[in-house]
Amino acid sequence: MKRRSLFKWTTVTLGFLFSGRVSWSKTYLTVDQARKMLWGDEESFRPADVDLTKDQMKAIRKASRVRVRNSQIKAWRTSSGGWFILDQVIGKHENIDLAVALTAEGKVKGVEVLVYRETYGHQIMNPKWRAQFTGRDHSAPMRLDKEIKNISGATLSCRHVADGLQRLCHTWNLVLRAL
Amino acid sequence: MNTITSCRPLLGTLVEVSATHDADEDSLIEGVRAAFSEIERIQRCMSFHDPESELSRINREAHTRPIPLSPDMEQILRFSGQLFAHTEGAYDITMAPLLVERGLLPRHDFLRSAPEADWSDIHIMDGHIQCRRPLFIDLGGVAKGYAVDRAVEALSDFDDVTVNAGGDLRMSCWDNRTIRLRNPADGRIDEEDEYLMRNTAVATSASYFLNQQAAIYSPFSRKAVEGHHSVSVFASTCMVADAMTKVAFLMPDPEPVLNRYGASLLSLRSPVGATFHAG
Repeated sequence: MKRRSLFKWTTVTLGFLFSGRVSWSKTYLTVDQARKMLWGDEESFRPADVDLTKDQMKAIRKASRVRVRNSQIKAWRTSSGGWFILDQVIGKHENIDLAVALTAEGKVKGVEVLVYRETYGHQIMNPKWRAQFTGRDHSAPMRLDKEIKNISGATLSCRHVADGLQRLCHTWNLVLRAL
Repeated sequence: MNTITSCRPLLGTLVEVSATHDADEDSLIEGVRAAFSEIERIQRCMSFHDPESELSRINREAHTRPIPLSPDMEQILRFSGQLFAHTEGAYDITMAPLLVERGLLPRHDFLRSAPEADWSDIHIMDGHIQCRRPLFIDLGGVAKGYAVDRAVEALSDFDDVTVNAGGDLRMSCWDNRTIRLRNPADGRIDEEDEYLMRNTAVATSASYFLNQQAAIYSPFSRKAVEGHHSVSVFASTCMVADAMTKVAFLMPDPEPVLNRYGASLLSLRSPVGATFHAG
């Protein structure tokens, strides 16, 4: 799987959705590592990307009650008939790239978060913080996109992830199972 | 040295497992899988949301007959009972009916609660639990921390492990490491909020994601604790850190209890300003 094309896809989406808002991100597994984590060494995979029609997107939205943002599904089929799918869920302040494993029966076998993004708080409007970009000393290191580690303090609820999985299960039921 | 950091939705939040060891990627992946298996196991044991969990079985049946307890459940119940006594009732896992009433916990149809039922109605003996009156309990104030402890232990052979369950965090190597906290006013990350670890585990409770009302209810006032602040507690286990954040929220003077459990407190108020309590 070419990492480069995935990167382009996520940055385009990211740019569109977080336009103008400063965000930080945390990257976890690569797509290959996620595939190993979710499926182990047993299966082989063949690319099986899917392009949803407008009617299919509407049907999935109606059945799952969750908006379908992407018509293109980046997916692989496993030798046992399961699916390995890359997906994205979007909330008000956060944006998450997921890898989801579905069994041949369309049940969720596992989920890995590949990239988690979140907007910074209103502190960034603080003149002191903004000065690092407008100040005289341009040699000062840029602090944007600095790796944020070890946050103690609840993340937002998993509702968006749960909604995304719901949408994927209905996608399997209405489209993928027939393929 | 290789490092793998994986993140999965579990325990109603996102759980990160980070493992560093002098081994190949496959071994690290195996290890991380083992850590997540422990998290899943504790979820199946202690989830209030899951009607098939061990906790739900206790909630459904313990007032009709003695129910056998798994070692994990017995440990956490005994800990909760001791803490109830040490906090003179401020830390009380039998507050669950109030949380269900407020819509913070699901209203399963098997839940029964007599109005005056409380801790004194719970008997734990010979590895079994029985309740004298219908009541039900919730372990939301401590189960995440407990799960983190089990996951870290599953990787005790690894050089460096960090498990973070939605902010309940434990690092096997914590010396000179820092954590980030969220601004209590809006729950976001600002650049400045970085603090040194003071022990292996830390947990944080705050009001920022529930319209400034933490889902922490006082057994005395029966009202939610209010305010724009967050409390973080450092301790030698994540279970203790997790439980102590509730103690810190609920008691006007939590220090004697914190000291007793070897815990130390860091509270943030909005606008941000940190107060450290020695412990």
